[in-house]
Amino acid sequence: MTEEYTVIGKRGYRHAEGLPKATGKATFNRDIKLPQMLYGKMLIHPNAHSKIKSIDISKAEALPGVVSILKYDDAELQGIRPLFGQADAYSVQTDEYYFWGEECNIAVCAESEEICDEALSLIQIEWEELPFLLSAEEALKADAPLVIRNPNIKNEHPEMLPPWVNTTLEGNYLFALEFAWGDVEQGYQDADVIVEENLSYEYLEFAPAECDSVVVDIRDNDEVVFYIQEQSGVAIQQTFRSFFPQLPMSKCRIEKHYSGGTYGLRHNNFHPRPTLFALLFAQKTRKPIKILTDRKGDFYYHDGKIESCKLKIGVKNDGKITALSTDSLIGGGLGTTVGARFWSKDTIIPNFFLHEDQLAVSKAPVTAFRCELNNGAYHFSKVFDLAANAVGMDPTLIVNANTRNAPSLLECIKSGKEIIDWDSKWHSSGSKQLSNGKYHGLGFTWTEEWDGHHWSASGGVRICSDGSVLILGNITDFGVMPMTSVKIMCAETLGVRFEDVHFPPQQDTTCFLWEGMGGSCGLHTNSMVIKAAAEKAKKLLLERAVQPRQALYQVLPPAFPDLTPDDLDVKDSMVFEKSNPENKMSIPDILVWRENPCPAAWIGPLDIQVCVSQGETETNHEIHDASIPSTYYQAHFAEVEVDSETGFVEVTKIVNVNDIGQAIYPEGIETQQVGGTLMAWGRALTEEPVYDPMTGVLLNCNLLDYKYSTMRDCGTIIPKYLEVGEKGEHDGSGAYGNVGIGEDTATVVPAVILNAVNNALGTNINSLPVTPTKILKALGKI
Amino acid sequence: MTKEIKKNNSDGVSRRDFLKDAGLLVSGTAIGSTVLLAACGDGETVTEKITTTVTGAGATTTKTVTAGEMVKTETITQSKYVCPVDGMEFDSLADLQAHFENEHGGEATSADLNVINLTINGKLYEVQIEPYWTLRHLLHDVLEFISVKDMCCEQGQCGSCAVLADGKPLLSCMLLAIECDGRSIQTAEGLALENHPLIEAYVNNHCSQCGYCTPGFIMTAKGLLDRNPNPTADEIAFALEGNLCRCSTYPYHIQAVLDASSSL
Repeated sequence: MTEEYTVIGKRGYRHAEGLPKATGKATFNRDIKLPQMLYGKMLIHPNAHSKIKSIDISKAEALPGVVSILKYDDAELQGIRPLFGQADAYSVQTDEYYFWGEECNIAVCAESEEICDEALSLIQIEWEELPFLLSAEEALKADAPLVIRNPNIKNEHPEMLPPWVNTTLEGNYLFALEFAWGDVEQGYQDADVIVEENLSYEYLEFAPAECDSVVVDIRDNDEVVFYIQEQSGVAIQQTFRSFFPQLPMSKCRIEKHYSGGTYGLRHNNFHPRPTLFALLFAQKTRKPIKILTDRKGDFYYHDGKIESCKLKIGVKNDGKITALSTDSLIGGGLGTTVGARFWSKDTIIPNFFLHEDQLAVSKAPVTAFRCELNNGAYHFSKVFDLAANAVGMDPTLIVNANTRNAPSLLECIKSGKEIIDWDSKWHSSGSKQLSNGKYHGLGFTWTEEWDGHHWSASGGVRICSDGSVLILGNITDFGVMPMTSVKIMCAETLGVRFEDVHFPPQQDTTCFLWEGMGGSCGLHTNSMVIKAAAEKAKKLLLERAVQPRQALYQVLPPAFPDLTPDDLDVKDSMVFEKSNPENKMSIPDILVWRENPCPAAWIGPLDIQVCVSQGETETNHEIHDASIPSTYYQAHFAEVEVDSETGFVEVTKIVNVNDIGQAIYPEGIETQQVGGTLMAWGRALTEEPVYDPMTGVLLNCNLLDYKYSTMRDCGTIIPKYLEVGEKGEHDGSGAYGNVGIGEDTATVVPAVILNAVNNALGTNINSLPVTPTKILKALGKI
Repeated sequence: MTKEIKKNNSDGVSRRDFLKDAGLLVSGTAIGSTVLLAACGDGETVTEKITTTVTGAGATTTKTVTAGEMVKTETITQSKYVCPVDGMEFDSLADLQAHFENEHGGEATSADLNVINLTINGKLYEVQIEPYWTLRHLLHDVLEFISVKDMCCEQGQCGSCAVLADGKPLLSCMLLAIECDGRSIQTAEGLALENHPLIEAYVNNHCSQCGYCTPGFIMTAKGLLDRNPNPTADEIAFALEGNLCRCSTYPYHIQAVLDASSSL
């Protein structure tokens, strides 16, 4: 840490949204109930791939309480196509559906949720079942049936994709990627040991706490208000403006209430139908409507699956990796790839080749789920662990031979090793059996921090004449505690007390748009905006402090006569003379709050209000250049006990070390580290969607059978954050040098648990989740 | 006939009290509150019987102030009553009862009309329900106690709909509303009214990320503290194990309950 701050990085500030959440008063999207509101439900596709041969909705229409039924061939739906993007593949006119659980273009609007359910059950459909494919390997075969939704879509806007993405391939291909540098064949010749393995990683389901819902209300002035469970209001605004060109964005308002966990974009181009149908029903009935998804239907969002990733690693006996090639097959979409980002930014491996095929399969579309680097981080972690094992090295030491040894990385490793007592506990694979009969294992991994994620946003700050401060703008609280962080940075920049700053939730998109692109960039982007806005407001405040103060019946002398704004500063909500701190005045006195007994006439001129527009803040887009080395890193350590008779894994300790540049909200950082680690526990050990191979139906779409962590599943988690990174003009950090934390541990920690299991048993399992079945198979017991 | 529930209230009814209570009970459009405002000032004795109605989306709150009495009377009823035999709708329970007795014969009991009485957060509710409604549906969807969350499991999988029923933590998605006739229910909104130390402990320990599951955790924890005011960390973990948190802030819940325990 290079600067001493008053508010930033200090403990003890109150969680801004803690009270409404604890008292149950926070309104989530599913809680919204508007006067005269109708309800809606979509028909869920019951097959893996099928087309409607015939449909009869007469019984459903006749059911008392049913208000309207819309389906793909109705006049209201014709001509609705997006102006851009892959949403076209999910058209509202089609009668063919491509995975079990897809929301069909058939929806019921009724007086209650129960009537909707009953009406849907009365719709009689004859389905023509079509071939389906559950694996990318099957989809790749030359004679595979086509399960891709619309082969032409992938070629629609090739100019919008990076040059290394190939969308010209036929069949079920979504796209292919290829990166290379150096000469891998030469690298293998230079190696002492060649390692060849095949990795896999299952789909990861969002399974959020709050199931999806959307409310649409058309107001008297034809303004359309969407209440939506989503990270990025402006993205949704643009999506639906795209479907309805006649709907001006200025009359399309997004209200995002508290969101029960999104973890990625939801109502995006892949999932527009519930919102579209809600809008159509609202237009038809002129009443607000709420379309609800149930738990089964909410297993719609998941990350992509590494079905196979063939690795070939050349490594010298000193641990130096001379060549790496990877050939991956992924069932999914652009939201998730193995990617080359880590390898180019974080290593000095001289010879590298990456090929990746992404195939359409008969499963829900892939979107990024906390986060799009899941597969990349797993891939990265496994390569180093495999290379270290191949030459018998401690995995924490092989880093030195293959990176530029950034101070941040070295400090993260050093700190974590001390906390977990690595040097005294480390042992070779399968060599330590405990007195309880279980095998002890240690795991280690590392990656960069996700720096440089800066997008555009806008925001405002208002210093009220009574000295309180209001932050203006639309932000979603979906679990990364953004309001507390933004309040802290506002208080620091303005010099006011934390408790004087207010950030009302649930402002809508008619206001400023914080966090333009959603979760991955939130703190980084918002920090730039709040700092710029608060600096503007502070400048105006200090200018007011040296000017005559206009009150209702009099003109008061300047608060600080004979001084300039540069002579002044603000601390603890008091403006003071820097060279004489005892010469000070409160903000209300400067803004002549008390001298104006007629607030209705004067409230405007008294307050200070500023905004920062999109594009006004500093940008770090160049950090996305994969050739620029990272400056912030993270390292994670796991300790496990494995029962070789049952295959049961007990994670006894995990240490997270994240270099976050500059801590803004320490308690928030730590809870994100811990929460992400517990989410990673499920990803590593238990989370696995199971499809029936005969029918293509997802079998475990409920919270009992899709297992994520519970209160007693994981042992001690020790979160540790560092503030080490190499600060510089383009260091990839946000304002005040912060680097976000929300995605890190959930993404990186699964691999460290697997590494620890292999260390415990001496096995070579390269597949997540590492289930008891996989363990017992690896041990040759089943 | 509308049942009236009388409470002793030595302070009488002021405009401020009335408006505060009305806002607390039902968020909706106030109809008729100006009648009370016109008739009765702060701290004044009521000189004539006044009935005031506040209508929400699914329920109606009726307050009757009787002339000459320093008594606050409160009945929480619905805005629409449906005959369970022929589906005819009535504006009041009395009208429905009269219809039932005339058309279908015999005295109309609460059971005949699917009417239950239950106390929620200290206030008595008289509501007509459907026999298949769960308590969660009644609390959240009908009476708008939005703290009673649900992860759409409806099978007791998540714990987010936990409430206290007669002091015991129960999953409201696993109880039929009709089973709750005469029972006393507490939700997180009620716990907040008590200013229970669990609320502050949860805020101070930064327990909530998305926060959707938080009220369910708090009500389960309240049940634990009521039966064991000094639980160990293991006992807390055991008690809260049935509550799911996708953001997985579990260790902070344990610390919050320990902190609340020390403040009791």
